[in-house]
Amino acid sequence: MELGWNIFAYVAPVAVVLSAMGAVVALRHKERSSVATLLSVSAIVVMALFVGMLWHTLGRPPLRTMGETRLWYSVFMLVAGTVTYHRWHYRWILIFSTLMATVFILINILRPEIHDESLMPALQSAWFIPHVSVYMFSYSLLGCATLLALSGLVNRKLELRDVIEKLLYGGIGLFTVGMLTGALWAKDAWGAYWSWDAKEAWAAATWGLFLLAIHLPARSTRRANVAYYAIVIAAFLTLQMCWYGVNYLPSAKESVHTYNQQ
Amino acid sequence: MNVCKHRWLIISIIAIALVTIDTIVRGVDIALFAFPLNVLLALLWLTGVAHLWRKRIKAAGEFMLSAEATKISFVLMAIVGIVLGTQAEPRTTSLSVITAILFTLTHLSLITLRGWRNAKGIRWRFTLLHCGLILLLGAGFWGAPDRHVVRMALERGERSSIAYSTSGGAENLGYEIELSEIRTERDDAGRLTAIEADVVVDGKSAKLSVNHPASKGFGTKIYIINDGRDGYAVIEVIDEPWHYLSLVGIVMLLAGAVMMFAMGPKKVNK
Repeated sequence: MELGWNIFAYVAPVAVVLSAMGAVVALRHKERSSVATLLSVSAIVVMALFVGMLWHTLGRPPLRTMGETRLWYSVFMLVAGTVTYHRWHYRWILIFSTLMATVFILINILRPEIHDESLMPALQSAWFIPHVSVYMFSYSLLGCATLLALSGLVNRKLELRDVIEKLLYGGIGLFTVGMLTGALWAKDAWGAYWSWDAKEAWAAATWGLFLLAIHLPARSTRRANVAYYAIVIAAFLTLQMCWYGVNYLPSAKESVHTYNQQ
Repeated sequence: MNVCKHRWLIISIIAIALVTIDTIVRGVDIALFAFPLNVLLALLWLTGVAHLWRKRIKAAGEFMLSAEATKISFVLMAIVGIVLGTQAEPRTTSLSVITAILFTLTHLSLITLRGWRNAKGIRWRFTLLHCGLILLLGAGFWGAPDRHVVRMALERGERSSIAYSTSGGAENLGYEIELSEIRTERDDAGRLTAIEADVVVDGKSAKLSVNHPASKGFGTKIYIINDGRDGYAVIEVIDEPWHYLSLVGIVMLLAGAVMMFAMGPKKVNK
């Protein structure tokens, strides 16, 4: 019996359970918990073993189909969450990374037809997985920062800025890596690092607004903090346009980032 | 006249003037600024930056180094992104976009000069991020007029040295490109999954596929941009001599971004 996608529905839930246990342990401990880290690392090992097995069975790196790509997303999501938890001890980050990894795992379990669905030629690139998974993880960090900013705005809390700032630095750092890996890929695929394509233009707008937030001087006045929270929220709304909102604009018709029309 | 006191009035007048001009004129023909004019203009701009930095033309120098200028730069970046992102045909060479980029580039250069002194503890990160962005933006901005794109359509076995620009003008490349072989693969649903071509460029064999262009000399890359028709290929030749500078900028910025993720919030003393 070949060990490939046929055992994924049995292996992946083990990883999800381990990762979820790690996330719960992390939430219940104020200090950094080595048990949480160990459980999260175990989940990564389980997924990595599956990737290795699939690689061996296929006789090629699993990088060619939609299902294989989503498999990498889920692994990277778990890795990024664990690294962030271990490095900065954000207690709730493992919940986010587990949830996002679970979404991709579920897609692979519920839609087995995508396991063999070939990627279009432009997407068959070594840049694809780092580009997308780094973006996904930056979105989750920026999303957390935005939730805190909303809470700060609604509940008139002024003391959330430090935590938001830490999340923004992590999120913008990764967002920048995502943009630049995309630029390197674009040069190979289309001949230009940056062409102000609709998606790229919205990415620049998002980047500009998040950078504006972290460049605002720290002031303790209520007005300054409200402005800070508002900019973070506006930046995240712009990010939604960049991520999927742009697809509904007329400018998307000419976009090279439209992959569903072959 | 005190520039600092009336800065918002001046900025508003400039913005209104630029938007008015952009509604009348479609955009600047950047090909007119090709080498050596773009290099001369870049040197002139650098002199201006040095002048602002050293002599501090009082109000202008102070304003360009202020926190307000930083905010304006980021807001301009966001506005440019949103406007271009909603236009069906982005007007990237409009005067407003050019001015916004030039303003950002000037401010970035000045604060990089200042920040280098003050960025104790985060000097590497600061330098990599800011110098990387200057190189990337600068190469993209000043190098844009030297970017040249031509295409040729070749049947299997055909060779040619004549390519066509986007405006339709025929140009002699000075060397021949021959399409020796073209292979396409499709999945069961008939969707294109792979395109690969064997070409001979100026007597040298090369393989072309999507995401894998071939290089030819300084700054020239050759791409296949097929629509999947059998036995036929569209070859695109792109000259972009400034792209090496962009690449250095990207690598620096990447390293700085990783440090940003790893180090978290530490700021420069102003």
